[in-house]
Amino acid sequence: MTIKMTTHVILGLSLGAAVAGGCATSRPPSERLESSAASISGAQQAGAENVPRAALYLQLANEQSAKAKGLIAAGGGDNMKAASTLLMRASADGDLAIALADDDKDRVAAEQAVANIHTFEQETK
Amino acid sequence: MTNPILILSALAGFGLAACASAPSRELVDARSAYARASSGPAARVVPAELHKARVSLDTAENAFANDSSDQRDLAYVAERRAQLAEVLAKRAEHAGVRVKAEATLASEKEADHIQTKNQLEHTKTDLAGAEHDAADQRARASEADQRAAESDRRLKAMQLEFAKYAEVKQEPRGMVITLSGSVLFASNKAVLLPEARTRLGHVAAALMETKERHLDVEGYTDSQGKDEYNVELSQRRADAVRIYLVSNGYPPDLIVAHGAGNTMPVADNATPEGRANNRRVEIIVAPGDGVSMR
Repeated sequence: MTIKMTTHVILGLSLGAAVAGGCATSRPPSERLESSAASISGAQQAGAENVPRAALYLQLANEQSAKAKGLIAAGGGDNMKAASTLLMRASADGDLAIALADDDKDRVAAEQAVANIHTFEQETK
Repeated sequence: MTNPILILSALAGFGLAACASAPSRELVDARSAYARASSGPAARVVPAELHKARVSLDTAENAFANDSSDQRDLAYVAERRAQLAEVLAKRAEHAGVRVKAEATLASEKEADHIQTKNQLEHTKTDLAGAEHDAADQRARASEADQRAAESDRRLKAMQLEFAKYAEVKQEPRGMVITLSGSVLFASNKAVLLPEARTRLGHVAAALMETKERHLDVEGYTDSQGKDEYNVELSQRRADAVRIYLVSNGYPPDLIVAHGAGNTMPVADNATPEGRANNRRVEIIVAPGDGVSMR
């Protein structure tokens, strides 16, 4: 009985691995799709479109994301793999766009804080 | 400062390049971006982000070493990770500048607030002092008004009292109490008659009410007789009145006696009635706290 059960388990695991392996190449890269979408959305919310350096990377992210979606729509293992790579790049561009947009706001805030000191000193002179 | 990891990476890169193809433009850019980030403030400010960039670059380097098909994409991502570390370091620097500036501003505002508060306290103190002084002045003015009113009241009362025993007039030189010479003295004498003492006693009692005032006692005669004699007689009569008032308690240093003879007649010396009116003694009570105006 023990031998029979062990055989069933090995068979099941092998079958599962084979199915999983077969699906891995043709299934859409949903994690990277979500990740890149979050990065792009985050960059837009951070106002990346209005910050020239950030806008460039947001544009790159959008372009690569659009291209990846086209490949996913076309289907096929190679397309899925290429789409996954493009989405990885899109995520990296989106993350950089977020940071650049936030950095611009931080820079403006810092400059304003310094200007506030000068204004106060002028007013109380 | 030479980063040993960079040197190893470079050596590895050269070694691999010698036995494989040249690195892609993406990998070259990634190496450059990482070198720049690791030599800047990112190593100190955002070491975790720089580490992620390092891991990403290592992955790209491995892919290149293995001639993996996604080596260019991994290098692309590695460059972005290095750039991200640099930007995050800048963000931290900007935040530091802002926090420091806000702290400076808050400190300056606090100092200004304290200074303003102190100035306000000083102003309040000065104002309180001024109000206190004004209150004192008002109190003094009120007291002076009360004293003046009391003095006037006493003067009027005195005036009414004098009117019972003598003629009283209010003149610029003060209140003038005129006592007829015939009532006070016998002819050619300077000794007070008993009736005169009674009258003068009433006048003296009234004067004691205001004994802080200066008195001028002036004696006058009619025009009969020699002027020198008349002056001498009028002086003695004025002195007699003065002595009587002093003996009744009036301060001697406030009374001056003066004989004016037949000067300043108040009536016609050609008639007996006129001469009787000219023979007189006048007591002039000085106005206010001053001396009489002659």
